[in-house]
Amino acid sequence: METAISVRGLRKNYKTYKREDGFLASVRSVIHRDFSTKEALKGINFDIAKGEILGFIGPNGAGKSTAIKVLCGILHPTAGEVNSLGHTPWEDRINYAQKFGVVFGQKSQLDWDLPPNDTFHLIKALYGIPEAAFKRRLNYMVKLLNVEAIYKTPTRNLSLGERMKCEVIAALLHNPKLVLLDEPTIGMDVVAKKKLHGFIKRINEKYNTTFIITTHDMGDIEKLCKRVIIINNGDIVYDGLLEELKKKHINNKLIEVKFEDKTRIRVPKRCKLISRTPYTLKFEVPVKGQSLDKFVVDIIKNYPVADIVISDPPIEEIIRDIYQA
Amino acid sequence: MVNIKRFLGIGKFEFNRHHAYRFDSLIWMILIPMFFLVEVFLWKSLFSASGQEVVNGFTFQSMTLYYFMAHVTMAVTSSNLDRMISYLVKTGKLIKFIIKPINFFHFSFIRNTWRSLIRAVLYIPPLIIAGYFLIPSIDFSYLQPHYYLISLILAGILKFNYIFMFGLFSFWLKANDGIRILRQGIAGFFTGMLIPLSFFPQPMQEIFKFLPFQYMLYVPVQIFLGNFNPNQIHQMLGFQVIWTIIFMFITFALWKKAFAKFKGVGV
Repeated sequence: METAISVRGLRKNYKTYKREDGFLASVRSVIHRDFSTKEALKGINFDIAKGEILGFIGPNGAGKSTAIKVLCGILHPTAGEVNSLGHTPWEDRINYAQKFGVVFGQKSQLDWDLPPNDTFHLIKALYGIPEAAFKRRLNYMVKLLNVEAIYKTPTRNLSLGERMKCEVIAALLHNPKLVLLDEPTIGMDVVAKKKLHGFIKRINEKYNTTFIITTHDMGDIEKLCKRVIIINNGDIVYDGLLEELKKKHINNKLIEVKFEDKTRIRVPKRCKLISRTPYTLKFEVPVKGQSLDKFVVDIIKNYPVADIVISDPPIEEIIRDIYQA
Repeated sequence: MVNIKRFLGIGKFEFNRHHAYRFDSLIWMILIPMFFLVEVFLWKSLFSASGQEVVNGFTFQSMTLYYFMAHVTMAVTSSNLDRMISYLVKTGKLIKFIIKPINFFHFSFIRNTWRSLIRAVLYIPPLIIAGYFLIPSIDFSYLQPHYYLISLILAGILKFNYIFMFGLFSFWLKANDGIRILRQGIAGFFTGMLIPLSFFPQPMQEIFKFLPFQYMLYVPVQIFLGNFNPNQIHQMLGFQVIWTIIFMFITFALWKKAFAKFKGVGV
């Protein structure tokens, strides 16, 4: 497979200033400021293939946004090499800018008092998008994201979800080969999220666009990404398929039972109780060395079961385990 | 590299912005002639109180014309670019311009040019209407509109670089407001917007010649009024070019530093 991005030994340190409490410290800080170096990225390596949708996850302050900014060419790394679509992002910024698009969920690129449509036209002029291609892409995306009715209303009047959809359109108008989405679904409702997921998949299939998505929403990851990179404290702690991650880290199954009547039931041996009410029971079963059938059959035989659900623990829990490890 | 489509596209966007803030523009369309009116009446009473026909080389007639042209020049060359840059830096929204395939300096220049054009179209007509009623009949043969136009364009480019430089300070200073107010104060006094520079003592006027401020407003207006002979005009245009080049260098070097800081080079 062709490589879109390769990152080798990427390091980034930040200098931060510190000031102790108190008036004296304030006065002292005028003359001399103490600073400490924070290692945001500690020499990470990864490759991304063309047409891949990669999930980039990690807790707050893990270094996700730093990595995204380096890939955009707006942050100069302390050390390391990056080759993104044949460019070194921070050196060849203007040529490289034609080839990638980026959405910062926290920083709007739409003009607050103008309709998104005006920003789209500005983008058309800045990227030199031909009229016909612009119209075709805009119409296609506007329909796909269902924003026909609102993209000509001033941005300040839009809901967060509507605005984010327009942000995504703005980032994709010039048909970039690489799209970086930094928390694209932040503040979105389920319907809007689903719409955006579908959209990203369509664009990915249609244009073979490479996507990198950072998010705190595991729903995004499960819907979109085959592969994930988990980053914590500036290091990559996992890089591989989402399925592998699940297989490797899912040691338990979750069993949820609903009863028709009030039922008293003992939690089976070696299982962990999660919650219990008179009508429900939720517990975890270790999957190693035993089959689940026995548990399920036992319960159905002996108790008035209305419903029984077996599921994997939510991916959040796996991620939490990895973060805390 | 001149890119017409890009230039027009940015113009359209700026036009839309002005349209969105049209109430603001409307207020300025009323306010600018009002300032002019106040100045004319002030000088009217000053001239009649002094009992002299000519004060520091100005008749009442040429004084009204001076303020008229000062406002025209101001309308075209004034800019709040420094506030805009400071806002973008403070809020981190500069990113949205940095990820575009255009140099920010280049982009700001095109944007500023359009704002000048739009302001000229909006604010000069109301001034002309006010001038029609307020300026006593004038002898047009002294005026130098062609040289004025050249000088005005140079003043615009000079002022753009100068204000852009002030905007860049916000990369190092968290609060840029004080500096901006200082900048505006300096502009009011030393460019000749408040009073013609010929009202200052002779030694100060000599110093002004070696400062950039008078080339932003006083010089183009004086050129228009025909107060310079052709030799002096060429000299003045030369000074404008020199100052423009100096500020271009400063701004460009500063921008490189600012951008390096923004990107965190060498940290």
